[in-house]
Amino acid sequence: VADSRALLDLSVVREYPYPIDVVWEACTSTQALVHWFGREHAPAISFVADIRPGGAWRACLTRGETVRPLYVSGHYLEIDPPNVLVFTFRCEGDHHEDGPGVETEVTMELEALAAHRTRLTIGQIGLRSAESVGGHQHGWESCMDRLGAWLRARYASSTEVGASRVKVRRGQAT
Amino acid sequence: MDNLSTTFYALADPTRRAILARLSRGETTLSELARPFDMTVPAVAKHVRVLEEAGLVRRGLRGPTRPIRLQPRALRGAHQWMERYREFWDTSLDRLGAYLAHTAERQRGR
Repeated sequence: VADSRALLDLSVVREYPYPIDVVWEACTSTQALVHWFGREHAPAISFVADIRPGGAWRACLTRGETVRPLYVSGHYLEIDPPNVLVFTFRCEGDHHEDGPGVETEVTMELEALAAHRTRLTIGQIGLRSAESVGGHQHGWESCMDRLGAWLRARYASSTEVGASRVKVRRGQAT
Repeated sequence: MDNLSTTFYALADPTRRAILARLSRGETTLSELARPFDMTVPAVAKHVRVLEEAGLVRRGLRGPTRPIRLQPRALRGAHQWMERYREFWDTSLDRLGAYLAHTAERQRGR
């Protein structure tokens, strides 16, 4: 008989046609995170973070004008560029399906693939009910779709990513 | 599950035993722990969580990196449980030894 707790985790995988450094930056820069964090119907309107081990993060997710915004927050546990990001994650207030104050752990892993592609795997552990696993799974899937859309809008193709990065470096040097 | 079942459940997996073996050499990060395994970091995180729930490992509370460390005291219950059977076999093997010595002596005397 399997331990039911072992089943209460989720993992979502996406591949992006962009180099690992670009995807890593999108996961570790608040300017980028505010554009893709949160699901389509509850996108982030702010993302504040002190991105270093032990540093705190907090995002405000809006859910339409009539519903109060939802705050999600936590702190960073591990930052191993450009591959691994681990942080705690909890919903503030009484919004969480598992009850208030449930702290979960999110792991993001980036893997460089051939042809400047990157695989992103997001896992979350510590959820306590099948309902919340389903809800968070949809949430991350929506986030990852939004990340893809944001990357597309920002960089028309991976060749242009290289060009724009060179431009930034030159700009900083002068 | 009772404590003993939780401990043995956590130990009943080769990946989790390998994680414990690595941690017995010193604390480390999840990222580092995952390196030798042919699985994703989130999958290793899940194994670490099972060990954490059994009290066998924990993330350090102090310091910015909060490394994962072994909590060997949590193995005490399992060790005590096994110890009883070790005593049983020790006693049985002592008696077997005495029986064999006695039989050998009788055969020589024949």
